Amino acid sequence: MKTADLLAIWAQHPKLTNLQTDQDLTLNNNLGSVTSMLIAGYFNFLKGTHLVIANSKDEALYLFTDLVNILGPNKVHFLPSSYIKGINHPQEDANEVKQRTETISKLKNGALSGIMVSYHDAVYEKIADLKTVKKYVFEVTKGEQVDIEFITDLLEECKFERDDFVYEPGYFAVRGGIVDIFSYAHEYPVRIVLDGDTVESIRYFNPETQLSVSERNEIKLTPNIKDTELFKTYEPIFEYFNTDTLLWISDEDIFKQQIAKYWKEVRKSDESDSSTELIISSQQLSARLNNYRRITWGFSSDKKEQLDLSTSAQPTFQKNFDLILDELKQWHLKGYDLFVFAENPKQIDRLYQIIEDTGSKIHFEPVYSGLTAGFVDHSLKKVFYTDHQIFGRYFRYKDKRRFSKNAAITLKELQGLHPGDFVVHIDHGIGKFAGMHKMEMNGKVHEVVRLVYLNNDLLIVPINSLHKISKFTGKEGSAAEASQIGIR
Amino acid sequence: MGSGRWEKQKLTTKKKVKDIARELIALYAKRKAEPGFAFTPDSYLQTELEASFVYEDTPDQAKSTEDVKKDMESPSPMDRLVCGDVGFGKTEIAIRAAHKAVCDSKQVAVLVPTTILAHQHYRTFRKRLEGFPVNVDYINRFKSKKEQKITLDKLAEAKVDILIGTHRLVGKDVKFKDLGLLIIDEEQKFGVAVKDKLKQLRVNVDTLTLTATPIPRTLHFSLMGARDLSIINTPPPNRQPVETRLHTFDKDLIKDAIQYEVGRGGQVFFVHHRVRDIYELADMIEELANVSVAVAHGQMEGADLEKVMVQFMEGDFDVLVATSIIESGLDIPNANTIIINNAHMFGLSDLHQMRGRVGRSNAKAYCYLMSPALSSLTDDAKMRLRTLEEYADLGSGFQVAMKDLDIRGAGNLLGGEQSGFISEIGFEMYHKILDETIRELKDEEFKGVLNEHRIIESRDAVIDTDYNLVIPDYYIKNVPERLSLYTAISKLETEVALKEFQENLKDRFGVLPDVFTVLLETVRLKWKAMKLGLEKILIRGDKMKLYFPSDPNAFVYQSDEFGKVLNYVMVNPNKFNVKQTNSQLVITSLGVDDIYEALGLLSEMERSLIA
Repeated sequence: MKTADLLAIWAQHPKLTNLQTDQDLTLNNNLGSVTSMLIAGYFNFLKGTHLVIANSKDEALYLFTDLVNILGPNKVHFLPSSYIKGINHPQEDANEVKQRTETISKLKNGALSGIMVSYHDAVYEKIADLKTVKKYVFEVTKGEQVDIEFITDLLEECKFERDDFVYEPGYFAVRGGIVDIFSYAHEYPVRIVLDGDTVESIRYFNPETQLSVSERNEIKLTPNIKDTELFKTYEPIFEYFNTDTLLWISDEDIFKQQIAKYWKEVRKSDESDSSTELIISSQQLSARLNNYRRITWGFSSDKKEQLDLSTSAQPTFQKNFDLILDELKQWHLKGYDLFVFAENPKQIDRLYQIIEDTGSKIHFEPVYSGLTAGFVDHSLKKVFYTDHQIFGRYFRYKDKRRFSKNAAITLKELQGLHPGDFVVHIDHGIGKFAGMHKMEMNGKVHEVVRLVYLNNDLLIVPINSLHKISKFTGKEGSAAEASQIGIR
Repeated sequence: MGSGRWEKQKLTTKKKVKDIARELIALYAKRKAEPGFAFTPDSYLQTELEASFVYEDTPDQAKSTEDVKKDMESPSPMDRLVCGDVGFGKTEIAIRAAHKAVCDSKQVAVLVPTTILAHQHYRTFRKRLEGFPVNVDYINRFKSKKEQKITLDKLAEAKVDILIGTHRLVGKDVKFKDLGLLIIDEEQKFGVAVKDKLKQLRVNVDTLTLTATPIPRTLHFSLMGARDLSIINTPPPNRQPVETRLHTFDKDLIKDAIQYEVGRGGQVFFVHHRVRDIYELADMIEELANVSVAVAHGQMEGADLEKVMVQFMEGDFDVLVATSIIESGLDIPNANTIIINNAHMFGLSDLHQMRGRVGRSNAKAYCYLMSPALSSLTDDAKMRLRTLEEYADLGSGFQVAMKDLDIRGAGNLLGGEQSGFISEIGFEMYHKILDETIRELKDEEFKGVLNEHRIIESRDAVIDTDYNLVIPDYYIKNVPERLSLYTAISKLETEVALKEFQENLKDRFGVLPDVFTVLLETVRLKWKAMKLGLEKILIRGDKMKLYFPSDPNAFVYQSDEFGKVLNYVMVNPNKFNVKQTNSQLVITSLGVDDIYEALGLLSEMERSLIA
């Protein structure tokens, strides 16, 4: 069974009609992944823009993963905070800023049809005024005439930094007719290859291997929207969601209390540095929230109409298969339909195998897709269980790949040779790497590696003998000693 | 060659390595000839056991399982080494093998270096084999004489299927009714006496050895025929990363972290770098977080230390305050937070090992690295801590990095005590020497035994030309990048790899300049030289000289192939001129205008080999 069929089943859900009012609602007994299923089902019916505000990044990523699994990747977007350690530690992380920019650039003044999944911290954070952002976004198309100087000037104006290689958003590199750029609005950095002044090819590349992964016809380059030199005005995120947007909020009380607490502390410490200007005020938040229809769950003291989803959570079985089969049988006898979610078809086969081995006759419908947490829906009379809970596995949410310059560089540093490093030559022993050198021989150039041995004896290693040397790695921390070089 | 200390050191190392390797190959050959027990193919229970593994098998793990089972099903006794980093799932392979043996009513001995490990393995085996008709027991010095006797009696009556223990297992009074499989964990940690006993045992009992020593795949190849080896290089895919935070010492944070972990029913490791004030620290934590705390450090009596560890394992304490002794193989699935105090005092591999103690179950794991303010640390310490924070995952990139830094337990590859000279010559060089030694042994001493076809190919050839040998600045400006590319070029071994290398460069830097192409052609020239058994090619101007080995005993001189090449050269006097100086044969060719002509001539010679 596919997730599309699942949506069809879900469209019959009696509780969906309860949602079709203008009322604010609070969800009760929403256990397991029923919340994501409800959001997906209602979106499928209503379309429009939905903003889901989870309590934590983890909760948001699990909701996001479920929604992507049900609705496919094009309708669901994830909006993280730029600060990985929370708004109290305004330390920006380039990857998060990139994903934030990537998501925000999809917002065209609230005209987004889809679901934006975010969380408390990420919503507190204001975003740059989109009109200014557009000024700095520029497009490159295949076959177009471009001057390489023009591109580099433009990139520098947009505060991109020049480096030899590109590993992280915000950097660019030029090598001959090739320009590598890590724009803020794409998962991968892009490589623009010029033939003279013509754009010959545009491709995404993987910063870890520095090799191309796919071709593009055009590319929009977006600068860092958190750059306060480029962008002066910042607005609450709600500026970009018109009032038709439906808000789904987890723990609304905590959402409001935390920002109040944050501002109280800022006032107390009397530190109004620039980072506080990027955070929404407590009053602003409350006022803005009131503009939207809200459906909340968890802690919420506002008087709202309650909607009981009448679900129960999938119990943990600790791999006790007799219990599992018993339980499934019970539901079957009560007239419930059984569905088991699994990302890996092997897990379904395993379940079939177990049922067969024990000689029981249980029919369930496999759904080949991941789900965060299983549940029993009593109003729909259906059981949605997950393989990972049955077998006690760990379910990992989908997260975008992170690229980090530090990671790439430390790896290079650890592997590469640096002047002063100890190296071993298989014929001559331990020496110190003294860099590379170009030698002239009869008008021909040979680049060589130089090693210094005891008494400053110098050994020249031609590049086609480099396999004879290797970095010396003895016990960590123990110092090596250069050997005396032999006399030929 | 050289007269230096190095040459001597290298020779000594080589001799030692050779002695160990010789013995190993001899044993290997002997075992292959010896009849052993052939286990039957997988039963339904075996399939169920393997399917019930909570993680997904990595390809390496699946391959290793297959290797082990194939060995067990073959009639000659198994002697397989499984290498894999901490947390990569070696124990799972051991459990599967043990279960397979038990399915055929054979007994299994699991030998581990420490009492704690014995206890831990016992728990892991028992838990994993729960619900399967297998009796697992252990023997260690926590058991009274009487209890030990009961276990041993049961063993003799085959009422125990799997017995786990320390070197106590090879004691005289330990009698298996029908031992079918011996599993040895971290063999290099056992004393000589135990190893000797093991040697006798393994001649006709299937043996599976586990080690955490990293072994490069390249070496794997040369070890074929000396030791059967399975390598697990990839971390389990759905294992979650350990969330790693770098922070200055902060009592509130420590309190929060401990209370959070204990609150969800877990336990905490707290690592401190020295013994001096460890008890004060433990008191402080006890008071701060209101939890039960135990202390463990290396200066404690062995028995006391083990007791504390086992108690912690049993969940008697919430927090274990310890020195870095916890790094070695301790596996407590319930402990999912580790706090490392003064993290800047530890090396990267120690930190990696310690962090590997958590995140071994389904619960989200945390690692807090406490250090003084970053600004006060050395660049080196900063880099270490950052690296660790950066690589929360057991990702492959980190493994690569670790391997370079790491010689932990290195040398058990051959089962001998080799770590002494490894630290003298370096890890990689040791591997190179080992590689060379084994190839020599196989060539010279075990020619008939291993049934390998001898080839004339030389091990290395020097290519000395007066062509440009450089990657031009205008093509690649970055010097470290050029160096790493040169290194990569010198390590290229196949045409496929070379083509791929060329494609990748074109992708990254654009069309290759001619000078660079010529540089890559010299690699092809070298391969051809090696294939023809040449020692050296010298090109000056349009004159090319091909040198056969200076050693008159070199194998190439005795081969048929050599005759063919020589014959080809003789019938083409317009192209070649043969000269013998001392014992060395040199072929000279004139009018070689460029590298492509040189390649052409060598190709012709190569074709004569097949004719």
